[in-house]
Amino acid sequence: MRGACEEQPAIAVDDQGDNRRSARTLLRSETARTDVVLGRDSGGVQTDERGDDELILAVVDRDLGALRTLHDRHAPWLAARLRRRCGEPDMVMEAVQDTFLAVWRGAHRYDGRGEVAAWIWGIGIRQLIGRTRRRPAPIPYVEEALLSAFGRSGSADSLMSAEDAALLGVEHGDLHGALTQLSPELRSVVQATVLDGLTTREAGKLLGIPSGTVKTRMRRARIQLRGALS
Amino acid sequence: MTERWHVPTEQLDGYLANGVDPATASSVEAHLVNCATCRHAVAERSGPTLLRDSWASIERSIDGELEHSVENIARRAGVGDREIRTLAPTLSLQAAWLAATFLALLSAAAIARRAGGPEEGLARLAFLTIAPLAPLAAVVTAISAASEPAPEIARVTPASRLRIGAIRATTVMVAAIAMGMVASAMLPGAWIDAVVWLLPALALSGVGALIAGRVTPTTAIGWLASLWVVTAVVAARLTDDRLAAFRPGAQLLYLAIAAIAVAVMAARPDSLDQRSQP
Amino acid sequence: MSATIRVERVSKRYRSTRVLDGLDLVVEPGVTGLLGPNGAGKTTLLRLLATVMAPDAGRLDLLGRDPARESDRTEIRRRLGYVPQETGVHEDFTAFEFVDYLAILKELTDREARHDEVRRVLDIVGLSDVRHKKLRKLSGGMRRRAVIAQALLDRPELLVLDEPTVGLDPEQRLRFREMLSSVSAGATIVLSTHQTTDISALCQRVVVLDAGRIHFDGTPAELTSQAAGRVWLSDGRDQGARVSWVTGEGRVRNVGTAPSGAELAEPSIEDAYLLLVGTSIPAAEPAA
Repeated sequence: MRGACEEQPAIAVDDQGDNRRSARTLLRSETARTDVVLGRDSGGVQTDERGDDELILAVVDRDLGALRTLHDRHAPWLAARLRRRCGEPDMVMEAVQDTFLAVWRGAHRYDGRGEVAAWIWGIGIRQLIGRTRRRPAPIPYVEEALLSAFGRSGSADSLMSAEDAALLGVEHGDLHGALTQLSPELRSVVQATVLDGLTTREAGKLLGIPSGTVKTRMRRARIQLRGALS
Repeated sequence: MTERWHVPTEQLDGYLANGVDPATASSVEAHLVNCATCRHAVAERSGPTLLRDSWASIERSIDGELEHSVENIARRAGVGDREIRTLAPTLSLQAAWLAATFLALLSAAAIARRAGGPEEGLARLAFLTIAPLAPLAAVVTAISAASEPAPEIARVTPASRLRIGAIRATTVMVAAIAMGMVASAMLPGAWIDAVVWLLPALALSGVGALIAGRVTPTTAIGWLASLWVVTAVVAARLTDDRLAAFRPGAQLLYLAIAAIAVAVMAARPDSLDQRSQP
Repeated sequence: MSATIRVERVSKRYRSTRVLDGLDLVVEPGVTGLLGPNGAGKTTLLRLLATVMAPDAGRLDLLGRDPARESDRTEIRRRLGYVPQETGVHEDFTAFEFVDYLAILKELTDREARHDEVRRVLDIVGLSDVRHKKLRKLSGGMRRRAVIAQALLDRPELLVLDEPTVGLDPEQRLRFREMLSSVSAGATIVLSTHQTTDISALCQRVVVLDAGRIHFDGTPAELTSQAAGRVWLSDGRDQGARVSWVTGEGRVRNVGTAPSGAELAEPSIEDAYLLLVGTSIPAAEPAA
């Protein structure tokens, strides 16, 4: 039975990027606060050097140019990451666009804690889940990652406690080893709730399993992880 | 916290082409959430057309939305954009005082209900005298320059000024009258006795609409309101009948006035326009 | 090129004053500047051209039509863009809503096409990024730009602008010039200004108006040449000069007559304007 979202090749790599756009300045540090530079104007591309936090504030203030900068910075990676959760490019593009519409309408909800990127991911993945009509076949969510991002993913009722989150917040290398020892089904549940920051219900919807099963697997994963890492 | 380690180029390209193992992919993704430099690297690798098209679609949606939820509801209910944009300034201007008048009417009706004897009669008179003033003020304000964003520019657009003035005036008049009807339901006694203010309201609104373009709204409302109140009071005194201004004979007079006002407006469409002198 | 505007013996009174006195004027496609002091009648003339009001005497012919007739007037208004001198704008509107509202009044009924057009004109005036901010939150210059934007809707054939550059900073004035040149070729643009620099930068023709009468009608170069041989630089003021003032370099520029020992200077358009409408200044102490 085909799932709604099948894996498909990701964005085509395009080396002939628009030169003016690739001249866009990078942030010097995550929390850089630079002076506001006027954004785009009448076809001339000017660099927007505002930090993400500043851009969110500008969006609350109804600055459409700020939203565009956020879009240009975040839509590409968001699309790539969503595409790995759902193979249908149209659905992904719609989810991306609806994400930025949601940012426009709800920028005031960003609480200032954590990365703006993480906040945007939270909106994006939920937009995608909302669009998933048929229950997808469980995607092998293998792999782990390091989750100093745990708190920022903002999963309110994830089954991981703070202690467990700290467990996972270890070095990239160590975690890789510990998690590969989990079975694929346990790993996918860990990924969905901890990495992607979904609630048990949302994780269940995405993986195509009941919430109860999500909880059970999380419990077993936690037990195994504690054992493996001690 | 600044990430010092960045995703190597081949790994990033591999990730984007869906050619890395899932372990690596997940670690790339977790890293991207925290690292603007690598996010920028991803952005550089995505097609600019895709980005432009995506943005164009987003901004079209944003531009297409109306600013207020009430307006969006109206649009879904089938009200045209022209009517919505035309009415928005009028309604936002008048909402507050219309609500206040409604409360005043409700209070008068409540007093009439609870009181007995002479007090009820006075409260009823107060109610009936105030009620026509709401549609009057609503109509005059709707036609005045205060309800028109950028009056001098709007005047030289091809759209029919009469039509726009009529839409505004009719909408607020209906709203004010509806409010009055609801408040009337609270008056004790037969409902038909409670709506004897309707024809005076129409007469006042009609005359108000005619003079609204010529004088300031305050002047128009002030004069007509005073005229009406004085009429009601004087008629009561002269005939020793408190509700003299509302008897059938008077109602016919109001009907005639309203009809004449409408006829004049129909015959001279410019009458709803602003004065031509600065 | 055929004339798009004909003004024949037009007069207009306001109370007891003759604001416009038997004006005759022919305007062709291109940019025509109306130059003149306050009270000269510029605003009144522009209002007549924009069909805001009718003259007391004389006739107007706008785009081949007679604004005195209602059907013709509506046709003129379909091809007209107007920026009045002062606009109170409805502050609750966003810039987008404001321009969209006027686009609706200009009978652009199809929403998608209309929004494309609104975006286009807002982009020309540089308000794209702030179009969803309420007007009350925008600066005076930005509000002015919104008013200019609405005048550009639907590519008018006749554009009437009353002091459009007032309140714009130098960068915005530059953009205004770019914007004027982006408006369709073949359109007729009439703008009024106090600033002679606007005339030289923007206009193919200039009309000098004072006290309801036309004092000059020709090209900016022709206007400037009126002052040829009549402008001098010296160290002291000339008491007989029409106008004289101390320049930024510390010398005195005299228009009209020369004090002894003065050098002839290249005339500017401002000199010519002052010659035409300036008044003599009272004698002053010569500069040290």
